[in-house]
Amino acid sequence: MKRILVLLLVLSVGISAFAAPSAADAALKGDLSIFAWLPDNPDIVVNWVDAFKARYPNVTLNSQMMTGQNLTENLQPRFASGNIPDVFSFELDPFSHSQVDAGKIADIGDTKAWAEMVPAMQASWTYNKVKYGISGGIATTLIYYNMDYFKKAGIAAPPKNWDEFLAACEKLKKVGIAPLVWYGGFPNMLSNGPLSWGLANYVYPNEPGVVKNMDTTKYDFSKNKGWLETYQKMDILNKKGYLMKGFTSTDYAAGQDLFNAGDAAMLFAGTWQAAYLIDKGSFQTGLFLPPWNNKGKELVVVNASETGWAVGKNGNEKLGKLLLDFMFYDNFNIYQNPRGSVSPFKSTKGNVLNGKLGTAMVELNKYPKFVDLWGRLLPTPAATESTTLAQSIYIDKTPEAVIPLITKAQNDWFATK
Amino acid sequence: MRKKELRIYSTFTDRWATQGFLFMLPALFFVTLFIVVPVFLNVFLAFTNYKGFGVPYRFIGLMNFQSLVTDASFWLVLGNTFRLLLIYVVVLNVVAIFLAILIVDVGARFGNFVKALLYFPCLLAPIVVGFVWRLILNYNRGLVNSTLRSFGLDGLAQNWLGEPALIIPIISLVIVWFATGYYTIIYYAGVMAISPEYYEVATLEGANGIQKFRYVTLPMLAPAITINVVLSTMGVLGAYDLPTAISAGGGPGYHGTTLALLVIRYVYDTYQEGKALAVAVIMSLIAVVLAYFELKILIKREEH
Repeated sequence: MKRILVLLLVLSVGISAFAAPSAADAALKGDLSIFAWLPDNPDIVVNWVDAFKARYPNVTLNSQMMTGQNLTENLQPRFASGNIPDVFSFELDPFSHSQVDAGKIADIGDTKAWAEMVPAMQASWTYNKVKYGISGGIATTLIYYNMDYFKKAGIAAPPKNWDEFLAACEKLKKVGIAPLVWYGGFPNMLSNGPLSWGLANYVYPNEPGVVKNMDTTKYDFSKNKGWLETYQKMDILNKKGYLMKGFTSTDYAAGQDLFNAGDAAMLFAGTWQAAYLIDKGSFQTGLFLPPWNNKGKELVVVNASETGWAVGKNGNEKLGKLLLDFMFYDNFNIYQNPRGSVSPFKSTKGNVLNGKLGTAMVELNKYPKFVDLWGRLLPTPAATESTTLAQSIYIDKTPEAVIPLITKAQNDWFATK
Repeated sequence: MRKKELRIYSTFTDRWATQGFLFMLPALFFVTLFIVVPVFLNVFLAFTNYKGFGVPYRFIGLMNFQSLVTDASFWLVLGNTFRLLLIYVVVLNVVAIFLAILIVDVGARFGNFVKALLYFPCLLAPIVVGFVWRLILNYNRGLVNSTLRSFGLDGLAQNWLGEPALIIPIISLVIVWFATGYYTIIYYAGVMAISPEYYEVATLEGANGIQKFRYVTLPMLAPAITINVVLSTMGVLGAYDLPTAISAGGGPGYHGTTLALLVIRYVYDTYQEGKALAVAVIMSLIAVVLAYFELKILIKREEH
């Protein structure tokens, strides 16, 4: 009996030694803060915090979720007041670049998570030689579709170009199925979806240096016909009655719900939404690359980074980088598993990638030409104005009327730059 | 003798005035620091390409204002703001007066319950109220349209948040729902302060209910009306959280955008802080002009 008790005691000490933090981790002291933009899944932060506290019991970790329309409106007051969080969600946009230039973002080139990131994402997250963020995932927008509805409408295979796409929509409409859920009430997704694929397939091929042109000179959006075509394609879908009724107020969450409820056959959505859309309704979900290429033209794809994470240069960056590595090198699965997103890292330990999404990403990477998302490429005032005007073409403006308005927004900004 | 008295009096008031001024100094300091200086700074920075703390900026004259007034969207937004003001201020004050009289009429016990019920929305965060109403008014699954469809009234189910003509009235009415309790309490206090004798005399003179309201209640409520009209005008002019939550940032297009939302849009979406400050200057001018005329008209009415 005594021997059994001793054995149990030894075993329990041994187990607790494995479970307990190492002496070095336990000795680490300090305060840290996370400021997260995770509207889809706030539990991720809670799980990260719990895991971190178990490993570093003497480091206080405060977490706060961002709210509102976008993460920049959360970060800007913090940065302006000098109250920079230690680790926070961050974008690949002009605001982020301005903060890098202002010396408010730590260079994370010496972290394990950075070394593990694939070269394309390292390139995306380097600005003026500062390695300023870890990608949350490799991202694009795809068309998610209801395979049962496609079968019912007699569509044998996903469309490969714009004409085939319209033909598929027409077949769906003829059998009484609304072809598309459309994010008319959430301009961000119009920007990530149809505007980005329009930029890739109509603007960029005509003018590969378009981004530089907009940033360095006054710019006339009517000179490159691709801009107009981008809006015209969005307009056609409405004019032909392919968009679900009431779409001008459909927002992010409502769009997902409507698709999953089988209210329409297709939804233009991000890879970051995969976990909430693939096989979540009472039907099989398929995925295909948005065929925004005209017949006979090769598809140019949108291949970008998800919202990423950065470390503030606030005097606490050593601990901040430790936390970043903890979140993305040691525990990326906490972030990836519930979202089912595409890992930006070379190895995928503990990650679960949905097979259908994996196939779509392999397909995406076959295309040699790609561009980033609309909102990341255009100067911010033009990007914001053009996105709002993408809503307006469904209400009170023609695509032709939209072009001079974006030109005005761009050039008014440029004049005061 | 007379001269001496006057001198003593004068010395006393001077000393009193000096002491009074000294007591006011801390308050004056903070008012200057947090109100006067920011207002002047706002006006100054509206003529620059200001982009936030620590970023160099330059004087650009009237370019921000010129950019605004030559933009059709700005005029649409200005129109939206006035429509919101008109619907909100009129409906809110009419409803609040009506409810205040009703509460007095139903007696203390039930009246207290109604007061508590009406005041309840004021305890909620405006942003939460906005999101809840967004769900209620959702076209496909919202409570309003689902109810209408369940009664076979499909034709009445509207895209409440996606129709340009509907969005401003919807925003106005939701803010009325949210704020009615607060303004009703002020009117209630006003109604309770009216001496019952006036009503007794009116009854003896043979006045009916409408006449009592027209010739007794309404004139006696004039000070409360002045306060509420001015407060509700200023309140809704700067309202941001509730309108942005209902309209998902001011949509569809610019049809749900007001001047307050436009300021936020230029600050946080396009990073044109100078332009945002120009909108803020225009907003302030509108507020001053409106408050001036409202006070002038309503105080004149009080005197009558």
